[in-house]
Amino acid sequence: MFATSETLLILVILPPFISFALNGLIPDLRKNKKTSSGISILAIVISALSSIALVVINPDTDIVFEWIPLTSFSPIIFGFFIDPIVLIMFLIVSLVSLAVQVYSLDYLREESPLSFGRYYTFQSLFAFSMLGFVASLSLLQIYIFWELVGLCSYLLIGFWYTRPEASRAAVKAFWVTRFGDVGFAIGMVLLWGATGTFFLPELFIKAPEISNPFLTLSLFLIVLGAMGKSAQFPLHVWLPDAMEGPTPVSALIHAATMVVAGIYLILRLFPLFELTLDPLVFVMWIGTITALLGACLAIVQNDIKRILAYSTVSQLGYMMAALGAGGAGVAYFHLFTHAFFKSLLFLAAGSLIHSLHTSDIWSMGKLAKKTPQVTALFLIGSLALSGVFPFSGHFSKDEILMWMHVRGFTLHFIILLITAFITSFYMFRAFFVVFFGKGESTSGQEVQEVKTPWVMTLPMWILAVITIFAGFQAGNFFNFLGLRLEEVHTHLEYLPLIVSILGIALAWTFYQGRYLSSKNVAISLSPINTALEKKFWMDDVYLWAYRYVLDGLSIVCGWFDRYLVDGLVNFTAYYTKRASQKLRTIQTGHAQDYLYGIIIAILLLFFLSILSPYLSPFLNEKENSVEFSEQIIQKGLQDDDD
Amino acid sequence: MTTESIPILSIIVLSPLIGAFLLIIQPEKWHMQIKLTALLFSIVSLLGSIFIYIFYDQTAGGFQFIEQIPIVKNLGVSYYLAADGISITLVLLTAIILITGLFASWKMPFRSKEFYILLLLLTTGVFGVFVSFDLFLFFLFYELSVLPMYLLIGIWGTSAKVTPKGIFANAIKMTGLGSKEYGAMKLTLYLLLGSAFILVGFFGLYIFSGLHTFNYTALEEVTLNKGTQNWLLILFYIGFGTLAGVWPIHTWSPDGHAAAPTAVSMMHAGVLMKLGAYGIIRIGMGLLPDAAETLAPLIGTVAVINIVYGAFGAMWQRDLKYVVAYSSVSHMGIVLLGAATLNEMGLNGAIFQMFSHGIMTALLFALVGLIYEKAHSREILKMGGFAKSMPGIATFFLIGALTSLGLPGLSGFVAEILVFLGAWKSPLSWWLIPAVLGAFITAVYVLRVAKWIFFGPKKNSTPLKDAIGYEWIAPTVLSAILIVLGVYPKLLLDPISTSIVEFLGKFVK
Amino acid sequence: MSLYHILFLSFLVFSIGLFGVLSRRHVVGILIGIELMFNAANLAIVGIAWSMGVLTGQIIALFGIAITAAEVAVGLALFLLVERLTNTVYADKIDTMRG
Repeated sequence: MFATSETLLILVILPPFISFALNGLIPDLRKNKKTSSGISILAIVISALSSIALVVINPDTDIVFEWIPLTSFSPIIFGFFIDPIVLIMFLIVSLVSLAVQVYSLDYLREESPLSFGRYYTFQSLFAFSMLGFVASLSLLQIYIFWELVGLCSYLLIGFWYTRPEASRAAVKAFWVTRFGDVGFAIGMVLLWGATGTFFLPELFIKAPEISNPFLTLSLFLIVLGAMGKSAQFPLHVWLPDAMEGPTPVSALIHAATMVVAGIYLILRLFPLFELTLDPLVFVMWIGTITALLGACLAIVQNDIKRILAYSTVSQLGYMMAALGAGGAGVAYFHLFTHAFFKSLLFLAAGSLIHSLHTSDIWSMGKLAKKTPQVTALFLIGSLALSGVFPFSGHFSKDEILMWMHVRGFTLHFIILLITAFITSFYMFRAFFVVFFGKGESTSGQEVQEVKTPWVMTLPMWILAVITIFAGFQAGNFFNFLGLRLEEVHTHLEYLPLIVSILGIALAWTFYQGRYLSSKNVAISLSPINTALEKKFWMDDVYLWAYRYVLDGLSIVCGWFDRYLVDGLVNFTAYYTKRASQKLRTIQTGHAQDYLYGIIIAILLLFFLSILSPYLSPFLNEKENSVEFSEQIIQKGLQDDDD
Repeated sequence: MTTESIPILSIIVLSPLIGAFLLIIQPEKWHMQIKLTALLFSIVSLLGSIFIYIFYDQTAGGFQFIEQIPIVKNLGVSYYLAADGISITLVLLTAIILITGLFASWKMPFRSKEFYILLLLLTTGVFGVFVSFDLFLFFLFYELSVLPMYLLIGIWGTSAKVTPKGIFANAIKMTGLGSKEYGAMKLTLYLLLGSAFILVGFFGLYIFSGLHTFNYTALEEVTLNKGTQNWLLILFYIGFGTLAGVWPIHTWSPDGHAAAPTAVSMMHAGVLMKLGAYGIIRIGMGLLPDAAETLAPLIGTVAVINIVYGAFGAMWQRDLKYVVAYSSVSHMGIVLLGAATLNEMGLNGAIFQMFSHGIMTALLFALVGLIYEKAHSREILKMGGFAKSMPGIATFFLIGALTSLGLPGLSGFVAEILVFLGAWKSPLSWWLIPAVLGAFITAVYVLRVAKWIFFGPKKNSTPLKDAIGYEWIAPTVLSAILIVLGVYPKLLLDPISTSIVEFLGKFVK
Repeated sequence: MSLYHILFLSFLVFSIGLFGVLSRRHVVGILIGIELMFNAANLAIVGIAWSMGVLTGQIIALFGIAITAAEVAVGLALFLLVERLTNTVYADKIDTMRG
């Protein structure tokens, strides 16, 4: 039994890596659409099946090996392990990856075989990295896979690298997350410095010995990393831009899996966070602010993918807030449901974008009749996101809000409740405009047909089914984690649902019923509207920092290097040359002038030799040398007398 | 036949020299034969390096494969070759870069015979420095590895167009900045100045030790008084530091690297700069341990400046070769920071970074050479969208770039994390913060450059082709090494660690 | 007549010769100056040998005279060549060694 669970663990993590290696190393496989996608999907199917098997068995196992040998310190050990938290993440990652990879078969139909193969190679690498990240048993290993998923995100956002926006967004995503990782890396090293180990179980044992301020500092720094990866304010700016990548990528990486890595990290390190409360309070505030900010920004977006991106930012904020309030279980439940309904939404949006070649919601419209299937799928996703019963989002969001309420974080509760209202408003704004709108800016041409082959719809329906039924499994979910679902009965129990429905109603009033004009409201609230459209000038701040701080410092350094450091060298060389030019003029070329020099030198030496006995006290020679010279002179005089 | 009976280190060191002599007697026009001769003798060295890597007994440790023949007994000069884990690593690095460098410069348009002769001479010097444990011999090989550089850059180099701006523009223009002659001259003068310091240091050791010997192991036993040690270490630090690209005596390196032909850039940035760091660690710290402990704060702080300053310097450049050259300055900072930590992680990281950075920078220079060959330009802002027409080069460049910014899974990360850990455990733990920030700045400029060159729409209409045939050899081999070492660093860390632990024995008081 | 007198005479002749070498413009004048210096040296050698009562000095002086003769021949030949190459016999007009 033990051996089989280890084998299964290897079977979850390794197949995507083998697929990546095969596709990456053998160009012939990569250049053929069938082999590249076939290998990749086969690998992820094996992973998914093994994950399901592991969930059923629910074993406790690990694999440990030494990575860096050290003698004066304990060697750096790596390992993979399984616990319920890992298993659920395995399930999410492998299932959503599978759905997305199947979906991409049609989505990327028009790509050349080479870039098609590249896509699946990166997808396999991503699946491997994410699965490896989830099961990591060492903090350093977590960091390694953490960076690798970041790399995959960079590569896949920049998949259409010839588009300048895509390559810019890819680099931006990498930079911003990497900035957070500076914090993560330092925090990690600090923790290592205090405990001498990266190995998580050992770390948890030794952590209580760390002095509190030091632990707090390291955890703050690690939270910085989590904020970068999970797109929390103020490091959220990369996520909306990351929508330049192919939509399935957004569904997988930027909605379901990679962006929740930050939440997963804090969850994993929760035993540390429980030792000191300040970082958690910070996390709660950041989460709450991000939830509200993301929701507000989503209202004014016109690009369907960006609306979804901001909603992801906002939902990640919910999870962070819940984590900060100590609700690891409820945060994780929201992560679980969110992964499915958000990827469903992205895939549904992707099927529209794929057929219509636009992602502007105002260019769509009247799609409900043309494609009832996608409409239904999108509706399921939207209802789940808005938190309407009986869809999964309702349960998880409810849990979070109730957690905040019961724990007495009233202010956060109110903010998050407002956010829930805004969420359902912007989601149904998009829904009504896209599926029932008039297609206002289509510039006359009729909306094209929406093609949805089964490779696209099947994955979506699977996700939709999970979205519908996952909510009712809350009890099982918590049992599986070894937690107890808290049955809360307060007078506020139905408030979130009511608020959500109010939001939908408001969206209907504006965009479907047209009883109110959104334009008039926008004009009357123009300062707020401008701020929202400018994204609270966050991007400008970063651009400013990039242009004037980083580039400015580089100019200073470059200038300093070329003109001062190097200038000093060139200055020396230049004046050596100049001096030699001056000095050479004393060489007249007349032999007699040189003779003068020789004579003068000889005379000088001559006089010196005569005077040396008398100069010797000044020349710091031994005193008896004077006597010695005098003896010689006297001896010479005596000889003359003869 | 046992491994002791073969003079394997002499074979490694002298094989390129013999190759060079054989090249001298071949007529100029036998192009293919000249290349094959050079390649053959490099392969002998490579095989020898692999041999010592495999047969180095890690459980025994210490110096192995010793060859000792007295040359001048009265002066204490001997032909003393030996190798430990550090030497083995660097010898292997040299051999790999020599061979890949030969392939990268396979098409030498003129005077190919002389080029290969000088390159092989240079390599003999480098091999010799890494395995000689007699200071006299060490210095001999050191000079041999520096001097051919002048001709190699001055004759086969390429001049860049640098247009100075600002108030000193005219003065800078007069120096001839950017031309290959300027680069060659600057490099040579700097390095000769450095070797003057080293020579004085060697004589200092010779005299103050009272032993009148140049033997490393004998000198190791002596403990000089602290004042003398400090002065000698400063001499070595300046002397070797010049070659290692220590701030602020690093400015020869960008100009020199940018002007050099591909194989020479690879050799120089890949191996020769390591030679400087090796000298500081082996001679400076190894023979003067007390001074090393006293001066470590200085060395480490300057190294931190190197990291951040080099990264910003690279960011400012718009010439591809200059960017790579400045990134070398930044990465050499990591090596010296690791050395200055004087603990196991730091020094392991330093040596690992020497190897990793050698391979990485050789890869980048090989690719820059390829790009220059295809696009006839090194100016970054004039390029764009190259990934479409040269996907292979783009992939390898990205691997190099990602190693440079310390992405896990590639060897640069292993080195960097070890140095970070070492820095935190060192007396001045604040070093950690600028070092990590340096890695972030590297990420900014390296990815920006990759984006400018390879991504986005195509800028000019000249048809470009991907690499072909033998051109693949250098990038493939070098990238493979980066990935293998990134995933399984124990391959190198085992021998390195063996020697580092012994080395650190000097500092435990 | 003591050694002092001889040496003083030698010094005087040497100084006159040196002055000639340094100040004459014509190359033949310079050559004459050199000869004077040479002979002053001979004189000193002979004088010292005489005062010590040995013959070595006179032998050296004889060698010196022979060499001087050869030297004059070589010197004059050189000056002829110089005259041919530079069209001048004045030392201050010849400055090919100029830096």
